[in-house]
Amino acid sequence: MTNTSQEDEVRRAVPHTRRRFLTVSGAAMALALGTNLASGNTASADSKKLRSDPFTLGVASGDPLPTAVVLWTRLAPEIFDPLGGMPDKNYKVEWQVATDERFRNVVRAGSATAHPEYRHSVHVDARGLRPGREYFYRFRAGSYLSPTGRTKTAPESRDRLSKLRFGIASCQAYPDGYYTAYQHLVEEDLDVLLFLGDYIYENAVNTVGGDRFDTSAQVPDIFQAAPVTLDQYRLFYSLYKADPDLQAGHAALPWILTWDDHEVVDNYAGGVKGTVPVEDFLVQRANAYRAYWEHQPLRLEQLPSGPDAQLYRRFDFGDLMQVSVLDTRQYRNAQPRTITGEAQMSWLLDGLSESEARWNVIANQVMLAEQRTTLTNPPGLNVDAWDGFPEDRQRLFDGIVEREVEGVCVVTGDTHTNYANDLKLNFDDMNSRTVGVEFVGTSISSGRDGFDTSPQLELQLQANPHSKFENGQRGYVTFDVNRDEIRADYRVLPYVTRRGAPVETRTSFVSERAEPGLKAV
Amino acid sequence: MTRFTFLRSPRTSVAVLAAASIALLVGPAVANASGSGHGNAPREPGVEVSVAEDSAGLNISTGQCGGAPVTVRLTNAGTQAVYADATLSADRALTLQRTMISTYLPAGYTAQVPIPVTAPLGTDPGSYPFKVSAGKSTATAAINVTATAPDPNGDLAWSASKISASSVHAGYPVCGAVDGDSDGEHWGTATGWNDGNSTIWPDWFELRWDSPQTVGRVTLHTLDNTKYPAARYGLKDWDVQTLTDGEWRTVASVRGNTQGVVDTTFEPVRTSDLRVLLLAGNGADDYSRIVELEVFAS
Repeated sequence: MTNTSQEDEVRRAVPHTRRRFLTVSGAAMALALGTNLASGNTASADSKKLRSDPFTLGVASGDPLPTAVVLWTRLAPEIFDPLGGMPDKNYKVEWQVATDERFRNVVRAGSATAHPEYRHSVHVDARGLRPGREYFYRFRAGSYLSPTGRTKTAPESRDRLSKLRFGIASCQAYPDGYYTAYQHLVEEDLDVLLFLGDYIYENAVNTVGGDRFDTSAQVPDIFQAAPVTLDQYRLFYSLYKADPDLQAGHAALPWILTWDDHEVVDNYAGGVKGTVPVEDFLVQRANAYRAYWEHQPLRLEQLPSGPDAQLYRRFDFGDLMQVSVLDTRQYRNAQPRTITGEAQMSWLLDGLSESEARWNVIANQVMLAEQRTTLTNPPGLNVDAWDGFPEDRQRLFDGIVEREVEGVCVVTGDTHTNYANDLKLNFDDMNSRTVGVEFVGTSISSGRDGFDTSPQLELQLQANPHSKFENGQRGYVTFDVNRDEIRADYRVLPYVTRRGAPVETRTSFVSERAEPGLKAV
Repeated sequence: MTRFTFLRSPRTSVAVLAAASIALLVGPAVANASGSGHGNAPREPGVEVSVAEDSAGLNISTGQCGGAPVTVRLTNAGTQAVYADATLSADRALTLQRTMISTYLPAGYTAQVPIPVTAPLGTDPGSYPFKVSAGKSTATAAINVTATAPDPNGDLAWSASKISASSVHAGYPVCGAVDGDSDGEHWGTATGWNDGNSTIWPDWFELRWDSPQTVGRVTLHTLDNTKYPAARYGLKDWDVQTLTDGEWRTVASVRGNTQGVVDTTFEPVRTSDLRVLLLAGNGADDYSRIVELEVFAS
């Protein structure tokens, strides 16, 4: 399974070449993030002159590959300052990756430049790591040492893998409540977390952080206005990322993130938001996308160029699971009507077709299954979700059937509600083929304390026989994947407007690869 | 048995190549411009700033809702898109919503950014300077401050130093609900407040004063006009609460309302903080909507 001779070689090489690694990695980073990004500022400030801890927004890792993972931090001694309390100069940030929490066995190290144009965010693509391994990482700026993060590389892509554990999370409106869910999520021993959108909300946050009602929060008045410009979006990330539970969530495991609408503005579609002129909205979108990239553990391929960013992408976890991460916001169009855009749909279908993985997970934002919200004919539907784009959904389902794609598992966010859906080739015919399953995860905090069920959810269960479960509590979903079966555990919290909520498993489902369809556990 | 894992998978190689090519594209296509040194390409015209109110100046009165936005314009006169930073400053007596504007600017594009300016209650009337700069470009404007008089009818909401809400819908600011305009027909013209999240309850709308006030009556005007009657669009259930020793205490409750204007009276209390906790609306779109909130001693 593992390549012993190569491991030995790496292990032997480390003690002798650590200094050389430092130089080489440092140079590689400069090439990746320095030279090609225009900056007239060649002055580099002395990091020793930092007057207070710059690691106020924590550390993060993400987008794991078999031999690489992105490490993120941002220098921001003052979180509500437009420059993060940093001088308008480049800063040197050193980083280390070790196999142990105490950094006795450092296997990779280097230095990166934190640029003021990127608000001193640091994105290190730490390469040359071993597949499927746990690592610890940290940063240093001047005399300040960051918190230690834990991460994990993906297994070697062609290796036979017997099992994997991952989680999904989404929708964390800051003023709606505390991120207690992450306190529990970090105890789950997951290999990776898929974050499915609505990381920030553009909604105003008052001085006490809304329903957190934290009188010590002292949230500045600028958060009373919805963000439009880059400085405003950056401040929203500063506020959100200052949350200790969210920081703990990032520090505990690698995340693979995608966005939905609220990272820009509610229910936007491509270049359209209400009556805002497209030219102006695209500038707002460019500002929002830039702030997103600056604050997430993403590679350079995801760096936006103005209003355009390549966020849809794919990850392999051995031969067990392939994850196709979608962007169902940026390419929406009214005529021809599409939620994915032509290029992304082709990319998705081609990827599914070529996949050799046992499970094909699609990390998706808005609900893919039909969801009738009334018992009327025609039924009420949420046209912001795939229900507003039935042609694209049919194309995807037909593609899955035609290309004989197996192990289709869609994971979704958006609705602040847990759902478990059989994906029917024809939702009007329960006897039609089940092409896969969809697990919709509830919100981390959006929607406040939540509820187990409601008359509306009861009605929807009745109106949608392909939906096996609907629940309005807060939380996240964990998945145990093996070669023949995927199991979902819906982990829920009874409240979020107060701290300290416990977690419990509300329900569990399994679906078999050979015969897709939800079965209660 | 063992595989030669130094070889990259085809996908990884593609990703690496893509990174290099994107990086090459990003550099020249999108430069960074700012007011403080980092850069434009040589000979490329920079970002030009101006203030819409430069000649006449901006007139404001004291208090959170007496403020007004000064409109800052950032123009990219060059031929390349840039990310620009502009710095803002004003006399110490004034409060600027922020001191920096950063934005993407396509070539030839002008961003118009409203920057709310307020003068706290008690600020001396007069003319105060405002300045914006980006690189070598600067612009100034005068902010003319007058004193806000107390409401002749005794509405204490006018003298609140801080007005806030659980959330705000774009175009329906909190100040719209304390602007003296209680005409529901003006709905949609920034003279009323609408919360930012439909279907999510409770919401709240809060007034804070610099010193304790005696309050004994609250009049809430919810949305009620020809097009949007209160029985469908107005607030249905709410509590009036005052803050005492850090705890919200309910002093009056309204349930099942279908009217546009509701007067609630209660035993007068001394408080620096009052809010209406909004529990339910009458259904349509499920938002909270307040045209005007008035607070009186009795």
